[in-house]
Amino acid sequence: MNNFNYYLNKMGEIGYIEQINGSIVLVTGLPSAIADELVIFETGEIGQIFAMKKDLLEVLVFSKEPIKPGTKVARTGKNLEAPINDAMLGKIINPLLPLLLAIDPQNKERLMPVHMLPKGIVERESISKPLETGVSMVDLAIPLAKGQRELIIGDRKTGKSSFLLQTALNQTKLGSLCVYAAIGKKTLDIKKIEDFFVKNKIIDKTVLVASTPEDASGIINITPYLAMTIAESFRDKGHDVLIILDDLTTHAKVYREISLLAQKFPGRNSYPADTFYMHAKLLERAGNFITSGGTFAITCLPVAETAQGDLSGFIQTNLMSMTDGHLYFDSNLFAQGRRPPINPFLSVTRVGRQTQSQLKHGIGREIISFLNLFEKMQNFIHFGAELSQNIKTTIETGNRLLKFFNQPMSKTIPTNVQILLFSLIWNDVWDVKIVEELDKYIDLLIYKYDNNPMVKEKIDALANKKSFNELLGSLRKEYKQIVDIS
Amino acid sequence: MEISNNQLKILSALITKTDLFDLEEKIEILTSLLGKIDTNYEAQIKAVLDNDSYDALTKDFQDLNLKLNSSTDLEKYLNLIKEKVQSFKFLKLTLAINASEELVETISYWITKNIGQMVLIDLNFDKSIIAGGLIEYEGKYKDFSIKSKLEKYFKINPALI
Amino acid sequence: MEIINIFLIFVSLALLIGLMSVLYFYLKLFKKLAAQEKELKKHYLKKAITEASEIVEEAGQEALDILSASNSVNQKDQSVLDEVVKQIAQDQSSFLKASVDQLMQEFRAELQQVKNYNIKTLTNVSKDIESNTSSQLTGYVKALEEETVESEKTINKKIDASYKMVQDEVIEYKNEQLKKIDANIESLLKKISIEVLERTITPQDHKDIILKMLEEAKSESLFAN
Repeated sequence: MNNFNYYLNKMGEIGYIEQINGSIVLVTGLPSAIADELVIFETGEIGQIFAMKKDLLEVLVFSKEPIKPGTKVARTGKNLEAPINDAMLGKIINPLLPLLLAIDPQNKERLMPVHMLPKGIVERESISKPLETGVSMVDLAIPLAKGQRELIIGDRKTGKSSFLLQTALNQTKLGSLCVYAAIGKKTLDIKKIEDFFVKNKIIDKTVLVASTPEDASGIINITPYLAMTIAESFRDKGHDVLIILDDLTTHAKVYREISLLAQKFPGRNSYPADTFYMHAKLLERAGNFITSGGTFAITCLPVAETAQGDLSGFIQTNLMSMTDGHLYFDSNLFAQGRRPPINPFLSVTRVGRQTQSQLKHGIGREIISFLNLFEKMQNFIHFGAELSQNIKTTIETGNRLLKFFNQPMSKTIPTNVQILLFSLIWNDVWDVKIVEELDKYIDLLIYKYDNNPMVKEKIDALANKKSFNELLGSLRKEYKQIVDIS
Repeated sequence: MEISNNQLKILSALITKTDLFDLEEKIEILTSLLGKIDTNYEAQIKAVLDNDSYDALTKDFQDLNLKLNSSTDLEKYLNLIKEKVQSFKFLKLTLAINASEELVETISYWITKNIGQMVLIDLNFDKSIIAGGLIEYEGKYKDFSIKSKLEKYFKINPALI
Repeated sequence: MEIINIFLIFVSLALLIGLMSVLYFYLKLFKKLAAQEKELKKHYLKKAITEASEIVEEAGQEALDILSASNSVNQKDQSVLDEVVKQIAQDQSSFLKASVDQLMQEFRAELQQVKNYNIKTLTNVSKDIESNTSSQLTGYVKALEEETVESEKTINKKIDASYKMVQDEVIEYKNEQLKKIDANIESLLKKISIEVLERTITPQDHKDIILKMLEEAKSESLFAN
């Protein structure tokens, strides 16, 4: 109420609610109002001017509390802004709070706009650093890079969030900050995410921007934009940031709801015509940027949900076209027990490979072509014919490789260790007994790598070989040493 | 025929928003009479409107060469009023006192002289503002109350304590 | 104060431990000496017995040889032989006794030397301990003195800081109370002003104020289209 009187007297204009359409209200008055301006109601709620008609303003209300027609409205003269500071690290933020803080006349903190134009080409640099997710399947076969936008797409309950949390865990351990935008997620799911961060002691390096389905549509709509603003703020302070937008299909649905209430003309699947723009302006704010303190990247992992594996949906195809690749989470592979169930043949990375060394490039090629072959072999053995030794070896290697790629949620493997493990499996120097205890061996090797500098040195030296063949050659000579270290 | 607002005497008698609502109500009643056969419109109009309004109406009919007992003419006139009424603007005044008739007329005179004829007063009462008032016009708002001036004064002058 | 007490306790404990270790060392040394004496005695006795038995064996063998060499042994010869053998045996036993005595004397002298050497070493050791302990003690006392001075300074500083904090808190409290009083006076003044104004403003005043307000609004372009 106090804020309302303050702005009423400051701006000298008043409006009245004439009509209410769900979260959109029609307001008369406010002759000098501008588009996207924030307004404040007599009851204390805030809204944003969504559209301007001849005599009426359409205001999107950021509250689910019922507002009566005839309620007074005042302009604030401000756009959507929020105070961003380091105190946000380790917290769960509902997007409404920073907005309320921003319009508080007593708030003296510097404000950052929630909607910003993406930086131009002069302030960007070519992507050159790899992004280690800690998941072998991705780091070796479908590599990502810092500054890339990689879409995570798949049916519901196929382990997308688990993969994202693994990536967040690995990246925060390597020094990046993480901003996780939970868009219209259930409170329980948000709590699970928070618990994961707390349990793995990375909560101090993450910001969780969360909105639930109970929040107003306007609030759910601005969640990813606020998260991106927070990421940009940390980038400007000299950090690499990983931003996860979980998920943009819900965001599109909420935007559709708002647009239909505002009587915008419906397009394909009743989505408004500016759906592509709405997501593109968000994703273009990620990338590899030149700042005053150096070059820092915002890596964006947006999530899209499909229905029964349909990749040709409107939102899904939109997002695929505006990102630098996608990781497809196949529900069939999930049903077969693969974790993560990433289909390497339907997944794409357009930027990740340019950051890889020749060795990793070689390994990636080998994996993809081998998996292709392995898939064909699997189909072949269904015939029940007698198998040659060659085929048997291939199938065994394939099974071992798949076992290696199966990674539980809480485990991340450093890239060099992944290279070593893959080479050992590829080289067939392990006997059956060790393969059965593969998980334990991997844990031990990771522990040794993290805690024993000698082991680390040896493994790093191997991983720095110029080509895969050279690595295999060195491995044949040195593998016993390395295997016996553990 | 084009008629200027000034010439509709029934409308020039309006001062406040309440007056307008009353008139609109009466117009609705008269509109409902239209189309009824064997109606003495003149008598009905006299029964619905007060004397001053009836006089103003008859003068308007004379000026416009309309017949009182003609249903079509009455319809024309009523539609004209509905059309003209759309262009009225409202000046919302929140005062600390219940304005007397004389005060209302003084204010109305001032408005007509300084703003225009098609502006009606929307009067409200709020004792807490002590004196002066709050003005709202076409979406613009300004607080001229003594209360706000007092509050500003006390905020700015803590030294008086 | 507490720090000094702790220091003293620590010093006493250190000295106690030192003394106990010296005692232990002494005990060990005596034990060693006793063992050494025993060993030496054994050794020399064994040596004496071995030598004596060798000599006796030699003598007996000689006697047998002599006996076998002679063809006729008569009584006189026998008694003379017996006497000679007796004499030889006596000589041998006195010789043995003398050599044993000599060996015992040598052994005692050796033992005395060992004892003297150990005592000398022990004296030096105890002297070392004494000098070490005394230098340590001096060190402790010096450190204690310095610490006392430092802790005095620290305590003074802390007292000053606490006093300042208390002063600041008092000032803050005073200011808050003054603010409250101000606020009370302010609200009272406001109330009075409002009541006075309500009673003193006449309808004519109201009218004038309203018209003035409209003029002001007009000058601020509130009615401009």
